[in-house]
Amino acid sequence: MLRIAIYGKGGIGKSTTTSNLSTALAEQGLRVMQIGCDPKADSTRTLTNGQSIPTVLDLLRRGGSLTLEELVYTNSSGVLCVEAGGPTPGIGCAGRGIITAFEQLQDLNAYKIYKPDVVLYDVLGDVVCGGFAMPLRGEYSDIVFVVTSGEMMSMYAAANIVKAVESFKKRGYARFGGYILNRRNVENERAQVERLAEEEGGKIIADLPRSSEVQQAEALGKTVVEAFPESKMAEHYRSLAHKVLEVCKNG
Amino acid sequence: MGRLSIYLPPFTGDYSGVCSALFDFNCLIVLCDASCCTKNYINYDEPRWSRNKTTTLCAQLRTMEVALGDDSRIINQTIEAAQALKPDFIALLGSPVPAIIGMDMKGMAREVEERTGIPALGFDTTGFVNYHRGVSSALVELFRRFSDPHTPKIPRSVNLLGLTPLDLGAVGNADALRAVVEDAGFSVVCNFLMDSDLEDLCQSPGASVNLVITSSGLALAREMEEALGIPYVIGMPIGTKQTQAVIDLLEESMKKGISQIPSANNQEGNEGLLILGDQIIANSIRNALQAMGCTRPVVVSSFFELEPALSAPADIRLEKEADLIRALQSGSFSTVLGDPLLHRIPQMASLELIPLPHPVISGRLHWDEVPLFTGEDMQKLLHRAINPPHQGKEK
Repeated sequence: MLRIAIYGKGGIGKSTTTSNLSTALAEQGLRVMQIGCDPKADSTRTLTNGQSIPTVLDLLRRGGSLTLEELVYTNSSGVLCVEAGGPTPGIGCAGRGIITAFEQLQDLNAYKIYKPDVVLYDVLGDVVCGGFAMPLRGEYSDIVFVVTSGEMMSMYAAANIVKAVESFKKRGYARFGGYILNRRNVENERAQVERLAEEEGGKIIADLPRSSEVQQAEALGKTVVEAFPESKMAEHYRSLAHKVLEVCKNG
Repeated sequence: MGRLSIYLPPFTGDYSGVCSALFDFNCLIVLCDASCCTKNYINYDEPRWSRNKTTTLCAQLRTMEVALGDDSRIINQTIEAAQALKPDFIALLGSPVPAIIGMDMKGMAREVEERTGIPALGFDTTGFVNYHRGVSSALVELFRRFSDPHTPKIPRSVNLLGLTPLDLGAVGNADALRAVVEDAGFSVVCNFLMDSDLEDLCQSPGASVNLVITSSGLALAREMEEALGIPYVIGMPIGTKQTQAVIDLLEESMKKGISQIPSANNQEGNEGLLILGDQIIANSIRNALQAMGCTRPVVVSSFFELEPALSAPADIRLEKEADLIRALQSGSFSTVLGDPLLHRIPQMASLELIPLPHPVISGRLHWDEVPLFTGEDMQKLLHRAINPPHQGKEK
């Protein structure tokens, strides 16, 4: 089982990228589980026809016993979708929410029962606290990819995440797999991110162009790979899937 | 009132469960708390504390360390203590604050191990769950870390799983249980985990069969069955007939290589007996009573684990004190067998209470009164419980 965490600044396109990656991996015949780790619980929306699915914390809040069938939604491409969820905005602790959701999945033996080939954690924004660092831990992930554009704030967040991954190395955490450049069409974008890679270490493993098909697919509640399978953008996501597998395989 | 307990004290948490499982080893335990959890463990949850030497340190977390997530001082001081004390292994345990801020006990343990060369285990204990989870995870972790799967098989040998003073007190139950099994012609490889050492633990995969004494031993039994094919039997030897039944199941399990789980039955009728405690101990008491000819309904209930697979249809999982009060008011029971502190509940006034101290409920108040489960006192308790109060008791 390959366990991959996708990090990056909020709004940079992590969920879009992760969902398309999940669909492209599923096209290859792999069993994929995507776990949204964001209190907004919108990681898997384009995998579920734009519909919200019950989150782990919603179901725990309801009380009583919980079954895996309630937590895991299997979409039309066969991707297993899970949303960790979070507390009511303004109260509670979102980080602890993530930890609790992860513990619940472990307790219910989710990985043993569904036996996914690939688990993708789509993690909110920055590594703001211990809870959001949980997907980096060796028990959960093997490798971390960071989605970034050439915008300063996005690269700043990416640098922080790479530093966190580096500092957790001695604890047996996931290793850094590289940057996924998700273009916003800023000036010298590729060069900017290359400079980031040079300064912080790591490589750009994929270069995703800005495409109107992404928004069009989202409006349909679908991934680009599903909505426009013949498009160039879908091909970019398929190449990303191949590259991710290659980086994971080559250690 | 939700989950608020009015009459009963808070029950022992998971961190004390882990500490109690590690007590007999030359282990440095570092409990990452402000100080209150360590105090709970030492003062209220460990009957052996005043009698034996052990090393349990309190990390004394402070506000800034928590706010900044700075665990370097704890790691450095753990390393310093380990270099001075030279333990066989180190255990780092969490408590509510580390649980909230996501302190990574396993990651910290990896770092400590890398820097000291001493095996280190991290336990993500939280204080949010009960002792059973702690004991259970400690047993499994220790087995994974220190047992040798290539140990040659030892004929007619048994591991006892789930031995914890939190269920059994520190009155000699571990020795007594070992003696019962040895008297039946088995050798005991490892007592998980009272009065055993790392060598016993290392050899534990050599056992022919496991005997699960309490619910805390169940997870390890299942792991050993899955990983090594060692079958298990569930049951505490209590009373002459039930003890023989357990021994017979051990023989059968060893012969067939298949796990043996005694069935659990409630009988119909009035004047029921409600047994409150660890599920496996309570089930064993019920089986002992039924083997002695008890015809009154016997219902098992627990605030802790209540596995559906081991339950009879009428058994009751108690989420909160109010569930127990509801059961007491139901009119189904005339006798309750459980911790002496149950007498504090006003609804007990009209019912007979047969006291069986459970240290996770009453702690030091009654832990010296826990009977030898294989002995005379337990036999007397069974005779008292076999009939409703007004029908007179067997001698």
